[in-house]
Amino acid sequence: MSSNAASAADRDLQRRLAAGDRAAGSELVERHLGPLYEFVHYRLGGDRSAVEDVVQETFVVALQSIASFDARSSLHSWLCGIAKNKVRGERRKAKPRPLADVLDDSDAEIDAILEQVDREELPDQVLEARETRELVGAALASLPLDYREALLAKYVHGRSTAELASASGKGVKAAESLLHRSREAFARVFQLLAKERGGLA
Amino acid sequence: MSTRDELVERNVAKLLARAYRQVEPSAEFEDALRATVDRTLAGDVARAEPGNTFRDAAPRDDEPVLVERSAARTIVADPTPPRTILRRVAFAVAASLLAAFGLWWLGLSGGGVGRESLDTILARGAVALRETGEGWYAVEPQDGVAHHALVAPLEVRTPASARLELAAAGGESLGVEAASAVVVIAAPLSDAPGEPPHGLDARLDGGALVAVRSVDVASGAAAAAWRIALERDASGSEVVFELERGSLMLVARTGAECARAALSSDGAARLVTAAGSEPWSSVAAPDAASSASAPLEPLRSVCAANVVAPDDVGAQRTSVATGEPPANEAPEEDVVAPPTADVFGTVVDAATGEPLDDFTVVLAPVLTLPRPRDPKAVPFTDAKGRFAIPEVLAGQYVVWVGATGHAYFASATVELGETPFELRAELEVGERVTGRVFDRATGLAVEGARVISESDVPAAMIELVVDPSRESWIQVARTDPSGRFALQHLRSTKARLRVTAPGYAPAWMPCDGTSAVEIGLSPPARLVGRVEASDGSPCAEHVLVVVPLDGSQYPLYWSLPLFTDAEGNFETSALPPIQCVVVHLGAYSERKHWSSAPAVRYVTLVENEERRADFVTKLRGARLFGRVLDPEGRPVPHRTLTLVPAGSAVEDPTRWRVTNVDGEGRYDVGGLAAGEYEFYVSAREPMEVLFQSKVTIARDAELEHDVNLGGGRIVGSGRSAEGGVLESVIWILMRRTETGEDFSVRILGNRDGSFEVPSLVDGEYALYGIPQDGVHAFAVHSSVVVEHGASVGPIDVTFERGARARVLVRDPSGAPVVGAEVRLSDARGNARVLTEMQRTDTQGRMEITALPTGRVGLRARLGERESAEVFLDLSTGDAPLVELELE
Repeated sequence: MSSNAASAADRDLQRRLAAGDRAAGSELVERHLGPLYEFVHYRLGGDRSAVEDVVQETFVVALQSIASFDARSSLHSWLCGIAKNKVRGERRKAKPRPLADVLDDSDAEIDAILEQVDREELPDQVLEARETRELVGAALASLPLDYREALLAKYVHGRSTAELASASGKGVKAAESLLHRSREAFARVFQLLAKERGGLA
Repeated sequence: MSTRDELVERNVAKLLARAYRQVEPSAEFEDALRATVDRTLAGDVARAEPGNTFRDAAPRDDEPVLVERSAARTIVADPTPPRTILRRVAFAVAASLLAAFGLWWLGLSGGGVGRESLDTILARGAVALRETGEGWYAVEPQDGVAHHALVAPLEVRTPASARLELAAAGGESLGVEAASAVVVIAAPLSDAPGEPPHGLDARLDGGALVAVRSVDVASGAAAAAWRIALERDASGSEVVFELERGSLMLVARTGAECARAALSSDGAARLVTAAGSEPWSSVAAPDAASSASAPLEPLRSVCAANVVAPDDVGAQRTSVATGEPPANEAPEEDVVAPPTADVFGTVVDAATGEPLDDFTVVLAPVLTLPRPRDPKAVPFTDAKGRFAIPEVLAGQYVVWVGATGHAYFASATVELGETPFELRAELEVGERVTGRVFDRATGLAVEGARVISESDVPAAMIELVVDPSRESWIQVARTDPSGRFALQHLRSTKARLRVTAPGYAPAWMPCDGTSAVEIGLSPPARLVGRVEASDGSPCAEHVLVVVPLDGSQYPLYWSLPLFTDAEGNFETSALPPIQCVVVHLGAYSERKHWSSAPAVRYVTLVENEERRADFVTKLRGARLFGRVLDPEGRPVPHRTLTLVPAGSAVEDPTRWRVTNVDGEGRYDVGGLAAGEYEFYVSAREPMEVLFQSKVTIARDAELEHDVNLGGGRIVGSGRSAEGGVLESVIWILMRRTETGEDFSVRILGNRDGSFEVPSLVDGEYALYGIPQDGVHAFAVHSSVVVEHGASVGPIDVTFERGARARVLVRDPSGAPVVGAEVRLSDARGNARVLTEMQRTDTQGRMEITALPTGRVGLRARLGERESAEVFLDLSTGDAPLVELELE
């Protein structure tokens, strides 16, 4: 998917990191810590110290092997790939949690979801449940970075489509199209997780 | 868009807008990660090489160095093992809980210390009185509910309530200002007469120099201070401090006689007699034949001491328990970029002047409670005598510099602000101290004891048994099979050594520099105990912390975390024989939800004896968490939130759960019993409480509840009927409900007589002003309506002079009832919630002043038992005796 390929910014960052540019290191953390942290968080059942360990190790490994990042996937996906291996190692040590299990098993499927989703209007009390929040966070954390950013910008931070369009430098139609694809991806991942986990509360 | 797409869009929008909670890394972690990334890109930082005296092994992978929270970058990350992190967390929890209760107690009671516990203040309502002879009372904690706070170890005698009972000739019970606190700053007599007093250690062992100052908790202003030398004279009299009606008293006792002098806020000393008080200078010389004069002499010599102004005492304003900011300062906001400064300089050999290549710089922050910071050791290699440590957090430090083959150099205390600090360290070769450690009972050598020189490290910040992580920069000698040890390169042969060995009590030995030191070790004090659930099952992997109470000798850093085993048992023999508090924090696995008011036991450890501290804990409990939001929906950081089981606010403050709201307005309280809770938020100080909302939680449930602060306000002021300003008034709001009145707000008025009640929830209130001068009665403004978050007032309140009543409470057999409380109803039948701190004494008596004139109802209560209500018509000047019989 083109949205998951390395952007020019990713390739530029890789080049500078490989050259030992310290400012690039700061930028790496700035852009990728948040999404990576969330990604790992849901896969480790929210165990903060384990999450911190995995995230730290992921960054170190990434820096040490930055030259082998081949730009076929986005930098975020690449980092998540490293993190998944670390997570598997961690989870052998710890007691697994249901959502984390589901995410681990569904990794392959998430990328290949094809089904259409028919869904009812979600009732309000479901929105308040903790399980729903975990599913929302986990679904969001499993998406490519640009889908995640688009959804957060529009529905959490309340930006308009016009603002998104001007921020990305592309037209309103492109922004709408991105949002549409992001919603679809989110909805499918969310439904999958919800089904696997045993339904919403 | 199709209907399906519209449906998906709506659902996704709803899910994200309402059910998304961002998961974020902590700022500390982010800082540490940035440093790691930076280090990885730059290559390894300089490390000290093996062979250095300060290290006897190659660098280890888990070598911890320390995190400094700074705006741009940290030095290194901290891979500290969980137990060490736990120690810091436990220590911080213990210190904060002690601090919080200390402030509460001081604010209401005026302070005071039980006879046995030099360093303890025990919260009212949770103690029992024990007569210790000569009409004095000791304060004893009740099992499991005692709240403790640190206070300077002044020997003062006090009963459970805020009043002091003095064994004065008339047997009168005298009151204490609720709004004052005593701050004690003391220093031992030293050889350096210009040295200002410092610290919190106010030992009064004969000859200690003591300065005392009283501080108004509401305004933080200090009144006069006294610098006094106390001595025990040949007659065996002793002189102690006490608090009485906001004045500091000196009381001298000889046998059954006592004499009292009052030290007033203008610095004068007056002798207090049954007839009243008179200036000291006019008191005739004691008549040796008169027995009543026996204590006068020591008192006279004490009162002849200097009286000094607060500024001369020179210390910062510090509350007794901690370094909390003065009462009326706004709470600190989270600063995005805290001030930092670079520390840099040169390191040379003092003898040759040659720069040194390999050395360690240790930044030891001056101990601050309740959030202490560890000393930070930074090694340098190939440095050619120069070092730089960028972006060190502002604060007070002592900078230590050490190198192989040299003694530590220690700077004076440095105040780091925002400007760079340069240091020139000249390292001496130092001295050698040798010695032998043996078992005092058998005389045999002790092998494997660890010896450090407390004069060569920031000793107050080092754990009692030095953690191996510190051994890269702390020299720890170990005794060989013949018990011998050698410490090289010490700053002086007059070092103070600390010796610890398993199976023995820690020992301290000052060296006199002449010959090898002989140190005998004695059997340790043992502390054991068990944590079990209410059904008797053992609680394994629970965490306790033992906190030393005497902060002068045994720093809080020696707070020791303990873990229970599979049977729920814990034990330690690592502590010196000290007074301490054992705090049960909870299960390790539940450490994110530890209560901020854990169960405590007060224990005095004794060498070669065992002491027990047992705990019974509820199973898990419910959890309440969420945010505190202002009326515009923005998070409100750094308040104190108090959860109170509904309806019990007035009855039993010991059941309150006090928690801090973090920098993002979040709170999280676990271990709650099921039921209905009221949320109170603090105003300026934790003891000011403002009711906000109620919530019901089921057993072991987790409930998210955002506390939305009310937007209403009431302002006003109070004056006495004579037209004067009353500086110390407590204002209470009672909220009208269908069933009567519920306690809602308690705040302290300003010194100019005005008051402001913020964050009010809409409702109809009765406003009570309660002067603390013991003269004027409380006044009521019966109906104040707050609606739509508006501001109401100014409301002007006039306080009339009050009446007195004396109460005697008996049980049906006629015996006096100790520790009962007395509730008043005013003419409207509303219960007065204002005598919650008074209790009847051992004769079942209580005196109540500042009562409203007119008709009042009095009813006694102790636990579940109540007396019938007795009505009186009071007028000024009356002191009728009312007898109440508990049913």
